[in-house]
Amino acid sequence: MPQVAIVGVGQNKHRAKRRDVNIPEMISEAVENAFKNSCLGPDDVDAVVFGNMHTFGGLNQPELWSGPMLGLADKPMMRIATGGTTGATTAAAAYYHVASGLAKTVLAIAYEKQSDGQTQTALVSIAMPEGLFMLRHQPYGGIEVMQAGGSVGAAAYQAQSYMQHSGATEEHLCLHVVKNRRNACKNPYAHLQVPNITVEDVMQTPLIASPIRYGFTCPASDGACAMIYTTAAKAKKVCDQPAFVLGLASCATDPALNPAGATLSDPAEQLACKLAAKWAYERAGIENPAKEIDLAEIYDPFAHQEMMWSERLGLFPEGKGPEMLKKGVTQMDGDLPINCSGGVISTNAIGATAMIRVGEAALQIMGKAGEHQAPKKIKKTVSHGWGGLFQFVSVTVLGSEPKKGAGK
Amino acid sequence: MSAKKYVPIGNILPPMPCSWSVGPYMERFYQDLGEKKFTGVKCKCGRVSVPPRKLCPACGKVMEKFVVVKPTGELVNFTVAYQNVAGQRRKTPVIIGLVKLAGADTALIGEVRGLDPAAVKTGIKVKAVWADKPGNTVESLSHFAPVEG
Repeated sequence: MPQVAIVGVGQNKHRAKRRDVNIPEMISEAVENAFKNSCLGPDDVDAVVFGNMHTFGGLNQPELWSGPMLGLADKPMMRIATGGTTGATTAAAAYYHVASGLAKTVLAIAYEKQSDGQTQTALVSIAMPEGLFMLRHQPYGGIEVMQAGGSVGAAAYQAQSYMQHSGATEEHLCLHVVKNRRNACKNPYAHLQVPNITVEDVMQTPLIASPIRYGFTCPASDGACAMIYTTAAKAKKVCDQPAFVLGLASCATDPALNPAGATLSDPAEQLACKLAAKWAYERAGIENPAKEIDLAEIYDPFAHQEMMWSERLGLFPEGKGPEMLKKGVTQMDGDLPINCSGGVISTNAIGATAMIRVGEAALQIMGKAGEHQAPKKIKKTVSHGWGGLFQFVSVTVLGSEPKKGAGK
Repeated sequence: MSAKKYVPIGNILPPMPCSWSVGPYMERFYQDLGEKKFTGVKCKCGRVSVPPRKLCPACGKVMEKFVVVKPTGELVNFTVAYQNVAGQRRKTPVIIGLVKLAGADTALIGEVRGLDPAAVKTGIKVKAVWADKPGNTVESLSHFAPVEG
């Protein structure tokens, strides 16, 4: 099986509204940047993988644009849509293309243009039929709670549980937001950049659905990400320091939440994350992630989540996330920097978001992250994507060297 | 035993109004349509796309040169619609044609009036007939009609 590497990452500046361009025009900016970043061009691409969320932007089949409208005429193409993990799954599909030996160089594209459509409506429609039925008929206002802020109403249960079990306080959640939105100021593509944001600023924002405050939630962004995957052999020819894909895995478990509210199981337990991480680390040959992982890019649209995921990904012991955050371990210059990009709490173009986690980790390995490059040498990273009904997780491990003992 | 087999779901979801950004290329097209002009874009490879767009469908390069093509062209494909979208029979059948405007390498869709649906064929020369009050919308183009003579 050929080893696979990332040689190009492109994004555009994320904003609340990109009303100046249409969808393919917006995506083409990220594609152009990925090519510029990689020294490769459209002629080098053997196939395209294209991802965005279902019905977001009010459109069902945006893959119509994935070829000729993006300057990639007549290429083999597939579309991926797996909810919040779409970007990571799209990146994974590009990896599988190359790893299978069926394609040499593959372009992965993911985007969201939320300002063109109604994200709230599209989000509410993500449900099992039983869930929709209960939302419709339950007397205590499930649909109102969900619509209070898209997925906020559902995330509230997870935040409540995580805070109760870990001891994370509102102050910890504020610290997370402050860390990431300040990091975002150093990332030219990030959406919410708040240079002097303080814990007090976040704390005084109003509650949406307790314990989630307005300041504990991500923005809705328009933006795109494109990445170029190729064989390790070709990567070494076109790139000084590629980011090698060491292992990846996805897992979907039974939902701890259905859209009608909490069930008896715990939405903060996140078995899917633990399993996906276990499998990805095994494939990557990582035995002790807490020691071996140098940097993480984590899907954190809500302020309690970076701490929670960092534990579920095995980077810290269970319940230690808040302490590590407070100690500064996860700062850009800390021992285990998390979300140097500013994370999802600063930028969330939903379909692109989980791909940006992989792309940002790749940039850190390649040494191309610019102002938000972590000062320590980055050899191994973990990227995390989250979605579904709170139970679908995708984990990708990248490295500065190819996997030992594997084929070319 | 009588099992409950279906759960009827009415309008469970809130409405989903969308407003799609047109971008600079199509903005120019709509604007010029209001002045009774068809605007396209010409690629360095020679291909002319009407309506205009950023990237050439043939060679993938960014296109920047706007061109105005003639409001006359040739019917290259068509169908005669006897039924409307709601499934009802139309009192009068409607010819929907694909018209390749002179100077363009692409075809525009539009209604063709003034031809007998039984006698319509490709190759007929047609011209644009504009709405009484054209504005920057697709409705500026009322329909296509055969060129006399």
